[in-house]
Amino acid sequence: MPPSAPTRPWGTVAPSPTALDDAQLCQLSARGDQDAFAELCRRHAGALVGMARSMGLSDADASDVAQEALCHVLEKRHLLATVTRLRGWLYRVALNLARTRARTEQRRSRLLTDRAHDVPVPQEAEAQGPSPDELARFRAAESQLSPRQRDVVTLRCAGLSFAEVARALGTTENACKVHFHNAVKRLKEAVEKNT
Amino acid sequence: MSNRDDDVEWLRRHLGGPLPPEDPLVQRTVARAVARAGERRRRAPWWPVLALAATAGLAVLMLRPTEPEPREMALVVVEEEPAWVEEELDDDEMADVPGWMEPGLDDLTDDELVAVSTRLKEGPRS
Repeated sequence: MPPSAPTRPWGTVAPSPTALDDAQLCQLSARGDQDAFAELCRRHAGALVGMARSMGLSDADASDVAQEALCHVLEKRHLLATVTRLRGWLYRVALNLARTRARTEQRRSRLLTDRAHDVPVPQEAEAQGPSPDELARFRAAESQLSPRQRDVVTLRCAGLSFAEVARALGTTENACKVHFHNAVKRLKEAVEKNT
Repeated sequence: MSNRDDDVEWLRRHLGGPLPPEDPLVQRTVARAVARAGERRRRAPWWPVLALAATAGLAVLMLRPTEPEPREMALVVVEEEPAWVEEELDDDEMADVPGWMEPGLDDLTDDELVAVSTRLKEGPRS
């Protein structure tokens, strides 16, 4: 059951978009409310860009993927109006777009095997310090994860709960937890192997 | 099972996590997404274009000149008899073409006229 649209009696002031939840913003966006859509973008753009960057895209490509994902869900107005859980849908769209973009980039640069060394180092990493060697080992191990493990890790890092990840990937919460556990274990082993 | 938040934090230290809203890249992304959405909203829907194209196609179909009858087409070819006919077609060969020896084109049937024009279009064999 979709949540009720934000209605207001005559003579009252419309609530600020920041006071509305995602579902209400979706409904307003579906009706062409630009402020509501802008608020949705503000809420999710940071995580979407971060997620795309974590998949090895440049800042420009990551930004492009985030824009494309946000515009894509807006175009599906007939679905957007009934959305109760935007995050799973939106992040799944962005995940697919980022993966396609990354694949195209890889094909273009023909650096499939050396990709791990070309991934931009996240700012947080620069600040807090995994060494370049650790990062390289991390990336190498990450590239060995199964696609499902990688998706779960990526979406969890983007801030989705296990329930949201499960909805986005069309699987169960428990399966996601198992994938996450195995992925983290494998990555930690790889990073700590030589330390 | 390690489903703890510190695992996520550990992963983010290597992969990077969500960017803060005040990050210039995020602000640029938001501005561009809103602008792109506005552009797409303003963009004309595709169906009027399709309807217009279909109407134009139908009009062209209805107004196109009708093709000439096969007899008329054949007549044009036969009446412009090329010079090589006299030189290269012997009587036997001409006789192979139904109606060729009778120059009264009006007397030829449609099939005969078409056969003559087809032979003329083939050109000299030598």
